[in-house]
Amino acid sequence: MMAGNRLPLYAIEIRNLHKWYGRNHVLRGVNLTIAHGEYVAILGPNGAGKTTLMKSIIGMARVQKGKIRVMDADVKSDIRKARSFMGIVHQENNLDIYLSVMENLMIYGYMLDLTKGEARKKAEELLEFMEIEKHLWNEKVENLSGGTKRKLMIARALLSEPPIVIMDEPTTGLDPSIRRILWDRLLSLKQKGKTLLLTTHYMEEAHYLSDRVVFMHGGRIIEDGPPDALIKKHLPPYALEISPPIEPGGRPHIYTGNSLIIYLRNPSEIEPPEGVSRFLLRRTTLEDAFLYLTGSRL
Amino acid sequence: MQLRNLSSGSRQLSLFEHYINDIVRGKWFIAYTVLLFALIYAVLMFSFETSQAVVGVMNLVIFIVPAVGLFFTSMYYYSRREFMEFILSQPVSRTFVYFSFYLAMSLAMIFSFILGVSVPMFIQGFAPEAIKMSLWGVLLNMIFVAISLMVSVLADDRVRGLGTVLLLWFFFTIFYDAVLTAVIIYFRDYPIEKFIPFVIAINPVDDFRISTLLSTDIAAMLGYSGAVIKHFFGRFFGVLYVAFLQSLWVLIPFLVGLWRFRKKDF
Repeated sequence: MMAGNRLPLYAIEIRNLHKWYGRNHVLRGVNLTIAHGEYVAILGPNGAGKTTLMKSIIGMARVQKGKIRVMDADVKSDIRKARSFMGIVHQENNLDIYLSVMENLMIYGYMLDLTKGEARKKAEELLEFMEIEKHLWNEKVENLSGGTKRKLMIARALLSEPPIVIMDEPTTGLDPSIRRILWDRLLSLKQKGKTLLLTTHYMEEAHYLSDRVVFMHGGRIIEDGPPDALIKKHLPPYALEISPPIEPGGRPHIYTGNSLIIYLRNPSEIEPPEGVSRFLLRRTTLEDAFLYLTGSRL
Repeated sequence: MQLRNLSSGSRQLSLFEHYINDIVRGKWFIAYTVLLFALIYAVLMFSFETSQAVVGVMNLVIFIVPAVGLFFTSMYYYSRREFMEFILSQPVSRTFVYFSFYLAMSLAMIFSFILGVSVPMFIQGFAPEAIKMSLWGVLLNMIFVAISLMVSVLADDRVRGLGTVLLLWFFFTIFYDAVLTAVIIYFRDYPIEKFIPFVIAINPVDDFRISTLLSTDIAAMLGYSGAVIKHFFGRFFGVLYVAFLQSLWVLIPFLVGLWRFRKKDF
């Protein structure tokens, strides 16, 4: 337990974090704080530094400059304590494929000093929570679908009852229906008071799950805030995709290949001009905000 | 909020058990043990005296054990890297993970060696030689598991890692002896024997050969470097000297690998 049962100010606190791989300066002074019970998504294109940031938090990549504290435990000097507060779901499938679903949880339970009975009880609770069907519990992992493997990885991460759950692209490669189920399960963890930090390529996922989103680009955090507030801060509420491009007339806009996206306060600001092949009006999304700020697609 | 007990003793044991179970139940491992047993048994069936049996078994061991130790350790390391990354993200120390892996792999290889080499020697009535060869076989297995683990930790790329262990196997079992023989012949008129105790330190396979032959006292088969070692140190201290070199061959790669493993980014 924490000293005197008092929670530290932040679940995760990152100050001026830098990371180099050789001469490649991958993280360039990242500052980020995450409150208890908060759900935060880190968004960014490939090479933005998301995975390196995650690996630094869990101590898989060494902190070279700056500070990371997890529940007040310094990741550099007290990594084992810091890790005891985190349940981690990696990007790659790192289950033991030759073991069954139940065995994967049991073996991890033993590593957590649980007795056989405790490990089994906990494993059953978590498999039910993650909606993994009972007939699969004794199935070898190599025979499972991608979605079930991911559910099992999440169940395993929850086995130690960590207050913080860290997920690196948890739904990448899964079909939309499985993704929805996982989102539902992750949201229900919020009621248990968990703090969630995830990276994702999917804007919809970030919007649906997170209290806050963090945009990363070129190893830096370029924007940080609640999804709707972020959109509102940078762009009007409507986006008009038009092809071939027309003169935007001083409105915020971005070019994407042969198309132009113009952001509008009023949906009827522009009438469809003659000769356009594409004229699509929609709500402005997080992806628009990201695109507008960075010029990069996710 | 629940903070788990951070004591790592039972976690360490669980991790070690996991690795050893995983290795021993693998088809590859079983096939290797059976094949080794069959080959050694066949060699012993056609050996009519002790020296012939020991040399025959030793030559097979020198060829097979380093190859399997190097390749099996490296392939297992790369195939389980994702799982290892998961373990490393848990509250266990990297030293423990590395040590568990090394110990499990070494014990599995030693277990296989005893079943595949020592048991047929016992069955065929070469018990004293079997005991001595088992002792040196333990070190030989530990050496090549340590070397392979070190290479795998140093090389993130699987192809580069496996390529390196292939080169090392070729160097230790074939190339080094060929070069040494050529050097001995070429410089036979010079007093090169004083360099031999240092020269053999470079090759753990030679160390195994000399230690086996010295301890079984098959002097006729000692070869040039073995004879020089016996001449310099005597039989007893010669064995001690070679055992010392073999211990260094376990320790140095183990520690270099551990140092890198503790520092590296995953």
